[in-house]
Amino acid sequence: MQDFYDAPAHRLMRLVQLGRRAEALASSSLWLCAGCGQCSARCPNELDVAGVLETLRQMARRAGILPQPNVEAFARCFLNSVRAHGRVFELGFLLRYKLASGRLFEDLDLGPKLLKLGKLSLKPHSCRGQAEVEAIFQRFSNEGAHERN
Amino acid sequence: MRIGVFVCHCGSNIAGTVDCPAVAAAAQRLPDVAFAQDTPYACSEPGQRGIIQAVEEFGLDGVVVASCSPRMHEATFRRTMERAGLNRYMFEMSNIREHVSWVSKNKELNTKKAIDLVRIAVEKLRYNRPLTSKSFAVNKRVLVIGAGVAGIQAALDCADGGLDTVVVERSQSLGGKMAKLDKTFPTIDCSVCVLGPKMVDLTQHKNIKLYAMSEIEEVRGYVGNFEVVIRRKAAYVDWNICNGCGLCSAKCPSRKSHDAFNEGVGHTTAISIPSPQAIPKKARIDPSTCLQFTKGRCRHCEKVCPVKAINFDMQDELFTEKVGALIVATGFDLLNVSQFGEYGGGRYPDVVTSLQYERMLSASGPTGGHLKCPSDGREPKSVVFISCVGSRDRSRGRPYCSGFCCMYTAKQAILTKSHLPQCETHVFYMDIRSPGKGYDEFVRRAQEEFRTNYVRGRVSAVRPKNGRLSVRGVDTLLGEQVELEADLVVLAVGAGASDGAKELAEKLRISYDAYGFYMESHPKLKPVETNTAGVFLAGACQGPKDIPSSVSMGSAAAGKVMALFSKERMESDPQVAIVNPIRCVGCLKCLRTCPFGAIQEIVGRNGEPRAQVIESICQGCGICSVTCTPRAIELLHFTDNQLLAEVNALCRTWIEPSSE
Amino acid sequence: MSEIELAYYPGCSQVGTSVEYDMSTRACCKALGIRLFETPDWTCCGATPAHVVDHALAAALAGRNLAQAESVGARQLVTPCPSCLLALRSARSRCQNEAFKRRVERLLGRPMPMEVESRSVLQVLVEELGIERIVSSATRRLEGLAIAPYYGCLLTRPPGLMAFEDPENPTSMDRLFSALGARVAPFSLKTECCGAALAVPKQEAVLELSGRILEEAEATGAEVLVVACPLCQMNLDLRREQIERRLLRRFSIPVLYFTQLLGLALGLDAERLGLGLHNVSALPTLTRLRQAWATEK
Repeated sequence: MQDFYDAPAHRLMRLVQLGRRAEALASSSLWLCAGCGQCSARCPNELDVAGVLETLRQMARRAGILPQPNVEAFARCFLNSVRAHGRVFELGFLLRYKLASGRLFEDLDLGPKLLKLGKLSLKPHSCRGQAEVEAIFQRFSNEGAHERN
Repeated sequence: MRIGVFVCHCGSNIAGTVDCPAVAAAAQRLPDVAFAQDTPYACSEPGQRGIIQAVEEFGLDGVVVASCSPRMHEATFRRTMERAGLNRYMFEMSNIREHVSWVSKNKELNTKKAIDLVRIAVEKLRYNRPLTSKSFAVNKRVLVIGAGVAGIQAALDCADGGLDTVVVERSQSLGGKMAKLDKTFPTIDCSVCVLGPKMVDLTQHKNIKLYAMSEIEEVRGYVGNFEVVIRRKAAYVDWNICNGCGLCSAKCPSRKSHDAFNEGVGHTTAISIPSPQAIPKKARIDPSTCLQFTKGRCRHCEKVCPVKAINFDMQDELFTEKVGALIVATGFDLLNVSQFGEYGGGRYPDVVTSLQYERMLSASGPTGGHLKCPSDGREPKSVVFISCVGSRDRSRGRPYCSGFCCMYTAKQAILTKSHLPQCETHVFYMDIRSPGKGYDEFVRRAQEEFRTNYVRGRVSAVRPKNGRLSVRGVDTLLGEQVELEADLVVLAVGAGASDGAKELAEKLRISYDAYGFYMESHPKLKPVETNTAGVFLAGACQGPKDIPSSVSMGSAAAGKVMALFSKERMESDPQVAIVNPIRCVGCLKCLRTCPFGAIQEIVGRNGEPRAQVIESICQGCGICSVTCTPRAIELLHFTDNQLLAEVNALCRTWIEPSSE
Repeated sequence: MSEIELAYYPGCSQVGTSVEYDMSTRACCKALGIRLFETPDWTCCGATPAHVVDHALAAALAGRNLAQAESVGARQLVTPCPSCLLALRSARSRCQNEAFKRRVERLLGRPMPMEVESRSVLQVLVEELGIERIVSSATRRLEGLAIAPYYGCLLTRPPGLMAFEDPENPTSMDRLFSALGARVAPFSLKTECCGAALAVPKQEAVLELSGRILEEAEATGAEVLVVACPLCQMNLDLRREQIERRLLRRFSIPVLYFTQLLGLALGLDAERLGLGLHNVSALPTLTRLRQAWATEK
């Protein structure tokens, strides 16, 4: 994914070494990392580079720094769908994502294909476990900052 | 007794965290201590003079020095004792540096501990007895293991110095890795051309006896008196007759043997001479691929050999050589390339190791020096060199730098351009290590004069693409990923210990580190000695190094051997085991447990068997004294009384806290 | 022969856009004597999005399913989706840290089961059942069908966590399908990322990366691209026309789940394996195989 990064992974590591927090958290690279883990698997010093980017991503999100808002919106809509239904309701969350991102016309070609193949359900699956999932999210929202480390 | 105690500051090394004057003052109050003083550098000239003066002035008959580890300066201070006219064994050392000041920064606790250590040293000294060394004859012959450039240099220097020298080389011909190189950096000399004369000298030298195709089977004995059993493997060709004409190899129908000399680039025949410049230039049969050995039919070579040198019935032979010293020069081997899956090592034919590439560049190599891609024989238009493959790599358990790869990569890039001026050369590097004379200038030449593209960054993967190779990496100076297309990728694979290094070390009873490299006695000050008396190191077996360093070490090891042999007889260490024949019951358990064979059975006074220590062989390890059930064996200078004195001195304060 | 019994965690994709993966997995397991019982009342593991927010949240969401499996006495869980597998395994691994575990259990509201081990379907088939046994259950040969096995990122990475194969050159599918008579092309992009979950928010990236995989697969002469991940399959199959528009070339290679191809070798019928549910039609592959099988008689 590095072709699409603004700061290459090694630059991000250097920024972290130097404590240049603001620049590191502002990078869009954090959001474009697909988490493939190739970097960590190859690092000769056995550093978890993918893990560092993931942590920076979480930190950026908590600080509200979103240079790639669509990626965050995608995750947010996905998790909201999981919260609401227990299992992700694909059609539902994709539509919400489109509204959130403003990308109304993207991927419109895929919808009919999936419908034709019968792989896109028009209703969410019912799931008794949803109540427990909701509770997890609720407890997470109520968590104080001191509990996160 | 009149004991003198000297507490060393070692500059601020000890004094920084130990109150040395206080230690000296405490020592003054110990029984039998007639003189105690702290001193800035005990081992220095004024320091040692101070000790000698104190011995004379105060009539001291024993000395304790509280300073660094005995491994540093016990020998130094023992010599000081002798210059002061005392027996060297009326001396004890307390280690208040490595064991005290280097361990903690708490001055109060450190000082207390130092005082304790001095007290127990003084107590032991009160029970010490003067000891006298015996001497034993030294066999002034030397055996060199390995005939690469380090071993060759060592052997020639020893032989020129008048010593009878035996050289044992495991492969068919001399020269080691240097003989495989095309050219050497930074002068671009032809490697075999500069090494050749030395190899010839070695084979012609009247003082040198060469065993090629031989390995060390067993080593017995001790410094000055080693007995080495050598196994010469059967070549199935009588080397006394073979004249190296090569007709056998030309006619051999088995053409798929692994070509070790050419690092597996191409194949060789079952009967072969490793290279046109091999010394000795003799043939050998590989029984695993020879049709006669595997299928019972062939013998072409026997028919065509003009001098009838082929002998299928040859067996391995064992020889015994008696020598006084050993020089180990077994070199290195590249790491296994197939562990580098991301580079396609061992998988893609056009990804080669640096040594393989060296053979491809060489005019005496499998391609006659024409650069061709192994996959389809085409001329490469672009060669990519990858540095640090397996070196500086914690994830592969090899955190060290192999030292010569930056230099030989620059050389190989230059040679590539000399062979094929239109060929692109690229080097992916992390850092450039070029410390020697003319080295950095040489790398600059590769970049500037020979227009090699040096890219600072690592390669993530090498993949086949459209019949070529795609090399994907990063250019950190640019801050971007790069993808280069290459026809050949050369991996600067890291250097590891030579195959079989650990097994040989066990036979020689020398230590090796985590990577199999042999351990020198002191990393700074004793690079060619091992902790085993009489065994010296030369060359890359001690750690990867370039040719000048290997040559230097070879000469240094030879110098050490010649110094060892400069005396007619050697002094044995009197700190040996001794059997009390009255307590000995003749069970001879000690004889069986002694790792050096230093105990013999004798007939005691009443005609019953008794054990007796052969002092010149005993290494003072103390295993026998622990094994002996009736407690009949003691180790001189470490007797039970001496050791118990130390224990008492230490523990008594716990029982009587009011006395110091 | 004792039957293998495993708790099964399908994952959200397998009841949605990748339903054919679920169908073919269940069908193969049944045919091979592996009894799968669905984790009762399973919920979404959180996958990639949960890790964008917080590790403990992600561990709680995944951990709930481990707890559900444990509640019916399961010690071994199997899932077809590598992303779910990563979530399940890393939840357990991170909870080795006591402080983290306590936080997760607070969120989860119940104890985090540390004894339930999760593995991929591919791993269970190849390592536990064994290729030999699979081959002996096969009723058909794959007749030299040229395949490119694509493993994707998460089956083998992080290597310490997934404890499966060499991330530079995994060979489980290669060996399995080779043993079943297919011709496996040396495919150099076996574990290169397809772009994964960035398909929706950053489409161009996925089209580029997935496009490279299709290019390489076709360059090796493969007739089928075989995958083991619903996200990879979607990127390579459903987005085929998008990739073609971006790279300005056509790709005709169909993308099958390894369980679908395996199912064909086990003699199962195409409909049961969901072979009609792809965007890029698997018909050419089916036809090729059926013709070869017909002449065999």
